[in-house]
Amino acid sequence: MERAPKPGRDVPPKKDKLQAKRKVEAFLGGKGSFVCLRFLAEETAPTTARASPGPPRNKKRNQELRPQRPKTAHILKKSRISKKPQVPKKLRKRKNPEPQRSLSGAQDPFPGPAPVPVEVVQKFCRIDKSKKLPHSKSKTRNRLEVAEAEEKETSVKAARSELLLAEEPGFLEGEDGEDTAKILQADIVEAVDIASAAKHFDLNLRQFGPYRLNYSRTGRHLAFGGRRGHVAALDWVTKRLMCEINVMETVRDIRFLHSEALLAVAQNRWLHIYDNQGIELHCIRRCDRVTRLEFLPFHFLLATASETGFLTYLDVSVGKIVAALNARAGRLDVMTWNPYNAVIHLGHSNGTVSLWSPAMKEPLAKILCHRGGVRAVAVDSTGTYMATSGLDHQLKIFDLRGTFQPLSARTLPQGAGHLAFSQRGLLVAGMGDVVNIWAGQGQTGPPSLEQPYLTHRLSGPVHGLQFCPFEDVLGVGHSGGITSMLVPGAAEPNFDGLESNPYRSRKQRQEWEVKALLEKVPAELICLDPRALAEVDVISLEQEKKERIERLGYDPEAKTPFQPKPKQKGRSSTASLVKRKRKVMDEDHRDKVRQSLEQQQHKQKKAKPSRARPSALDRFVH
Amino acid sequence: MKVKMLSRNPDNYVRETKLDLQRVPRNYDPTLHPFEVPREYVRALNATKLERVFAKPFLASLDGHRDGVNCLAKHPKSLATVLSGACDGEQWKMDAPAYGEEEEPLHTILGKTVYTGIDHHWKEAVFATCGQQVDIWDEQRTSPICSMTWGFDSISSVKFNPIETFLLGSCASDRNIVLYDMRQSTPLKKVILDMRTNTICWNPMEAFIFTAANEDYNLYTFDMCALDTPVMVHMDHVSAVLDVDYSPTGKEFVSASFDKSIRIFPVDKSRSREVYHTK
Repeated sequence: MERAPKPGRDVPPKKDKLQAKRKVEAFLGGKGSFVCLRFLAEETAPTTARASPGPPRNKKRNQELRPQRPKTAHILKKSRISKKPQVPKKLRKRKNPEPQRSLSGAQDPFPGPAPVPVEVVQKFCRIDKSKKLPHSKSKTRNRLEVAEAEEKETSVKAARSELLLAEEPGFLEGEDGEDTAKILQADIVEAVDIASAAKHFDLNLRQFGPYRLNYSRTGRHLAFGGRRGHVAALDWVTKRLMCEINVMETVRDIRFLHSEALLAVAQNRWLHIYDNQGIELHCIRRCDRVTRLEFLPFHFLLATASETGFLTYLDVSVGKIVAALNARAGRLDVMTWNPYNAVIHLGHSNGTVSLWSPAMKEPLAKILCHRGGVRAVAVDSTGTYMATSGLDHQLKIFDLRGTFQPLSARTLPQGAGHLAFSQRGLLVAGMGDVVNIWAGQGQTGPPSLEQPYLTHRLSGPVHGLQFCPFEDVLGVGHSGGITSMLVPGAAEPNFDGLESNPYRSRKQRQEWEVKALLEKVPAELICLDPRALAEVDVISLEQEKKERIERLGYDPEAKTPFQPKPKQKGRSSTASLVKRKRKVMDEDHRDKVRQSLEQQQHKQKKAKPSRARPSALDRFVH
Repeated sequence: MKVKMLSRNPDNYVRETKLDLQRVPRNYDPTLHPFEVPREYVRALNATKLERVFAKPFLASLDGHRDGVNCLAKHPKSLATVLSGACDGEQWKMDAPAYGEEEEPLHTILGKTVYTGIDHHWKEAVFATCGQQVDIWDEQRTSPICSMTWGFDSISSVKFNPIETFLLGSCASDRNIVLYDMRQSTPLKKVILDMRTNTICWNPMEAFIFTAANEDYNLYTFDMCALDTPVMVHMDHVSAVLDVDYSPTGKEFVSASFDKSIRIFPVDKSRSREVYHTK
């Protein structure tokens, strides 16, 4: 930058200050009033700032704009127009909290905003603070700080809005050490109100074989299919029958599609789609000999597991087969879906459970669960726990979100052929003609398998189990028909009207269907972490960096080696330059050594707990 | 035993009459709203696609000139007035709804050298021309009030600052941008870039900010107080940038380039938000 030669414009700021100070001292006659001096000194400071605009002047006059640096260096260091990111103003705490006084003179006994329990605030936090981020520029760090501050504020507000939730969950408590497992369904029906008592019913259907059942996503409609071809759909709350047909073929499984308007029935040979009036709409011949069905509601995908060993994903909104994956494990008849990340869990006869996504030809993960074959798998609604039962009569609960390790195990006298989780974390196991329900300690934590919460004996062996979504009801399909059991405390009491509303009207259902179709998530986005899109793709970033270094021939972001600033008055001699360089190098070296020591300590700490009890032979190992 | 079942009263969930609104209870628990990130991604993608589908920026083409249109000028106060000049010397004035009214000049001045650019003061009856040097003219006089120059090369364009109206900026063919003070009749500051600047434009909202359209496919936004580094470098064109103009809000500017495209840049971003081109 050049300036036109003009005398008298370059007034160095230092002189001004000295002059001003001398003027002030002269005015006050030496050391005058301390306050006045400070006030005047403050006044002079802004004027000096105005006289010297911008950054400190460079003394060199005829200077080129900048040294020849490569193009990428043009991206500037600080931008003057863009304002600093707005950090939300901290609430100014009052020094003396004045109590609110009303006209009557009474004081608020609970001053301040209502306290919010920490677990509830934790529920609404989405940023994973334990993840270490790679070193980033100050702009990125600022933005991350702003995002974290916002998240804190919004999670407190969301936690406070929980006050507005109208319903409370149900409960069942025995008095004086009474075992809740011994309480009969008949007793519960007597003790509760009429509306709830009406939710308990038994459909005696012995003629058409053992039944499998499915509740719709809102929990209002029930579809069931008997092995000998009986298929029916009804609104079980009002007991209004929507359709009842016999498909004249073996029915292996039945599922509602995205709403109560469509049913998918896995028949002996092929997969059929029916209307809720019983009209057959489609016969999908590519899905043959299907044993199990699962519907992924946010992706509009129907996953089918077949006897031929194929896992097929059918997109029901466009009617195309998205992926047909060969599981290479023989006949598939144990399948469930993970509501948290839409991954399909398949259980195999070698005791493993494999996790599948339509994007990959190989399973995402394989977990060895049992010593014999796996008989049933279930995943809870938050995607944290997986319950499996096997031919070895074990019932195990695995942790899905961290290490895939078993958390608890229990030996059952009879192996459980069916498992299901409820919305509030209750686990039901169907063993022969008995169902056992286990409850957890509160909302967090897996269900404790010590003592069952409720038990019930049915009139025939169990073939299907599902908890009704927003009602305290368990639907059991068995060889004698359908039973609807009361399970207090099973369901989420407060539904969200925009997601699944059991009281929705026809218009509301149509609006919801259109919006759901517009928001349909593409099948390629299914992976173990559903928030993967929100994270920085570190691997691709590093790959790009490598390519850029290759292309340019050098690393534009590498730290330039330290160049000591040339100083006046003999401080720039060769010896002192070398000394300064050495100082900086030594400091960097010290930092590196400190970091590597810390890392080593970390590794040691991690390695320590895995050691077994110390034995006398350890001295020969190290 | 103590037992309570979850039982909802339908009266609290279903509306009473058809004239009422539907009741929609809300629960913001993240468990009830899974797949937040992919759903938001899909909604953002759909919104962008629809926005592109409905974007029809081309409004009209004004015919009438018989030769290539070389320059445009807008009226500082009237929204509907635009003047255009063609290579064959014709000038047309568009005053909505009419376009194509030819004007007769009030006054003709013959100069000694070629004039390459002209700009009028925002407040006073003064205008500036540039060619070999920058001349400041009074409307009534036939010779310039003052001439300013710094360096020996020809100057291609000159622009007055709309806020600090005594300031001028000019671009010369020896790759520099010179700022002048009209009150002192002297050049103030100079910045030399790597390649020639075609035009500059002052920000109508920020007093000391101007943007320079450079031959090296970039636009540089400078703060007059500190000309050693640009405030922002705007990189998106793939050929020389020929002209730049600010929006009256001062938040965006539009740039025209030799690569047959027009781009709209926000002032604080280095990438364009919009690009227009014809076939």
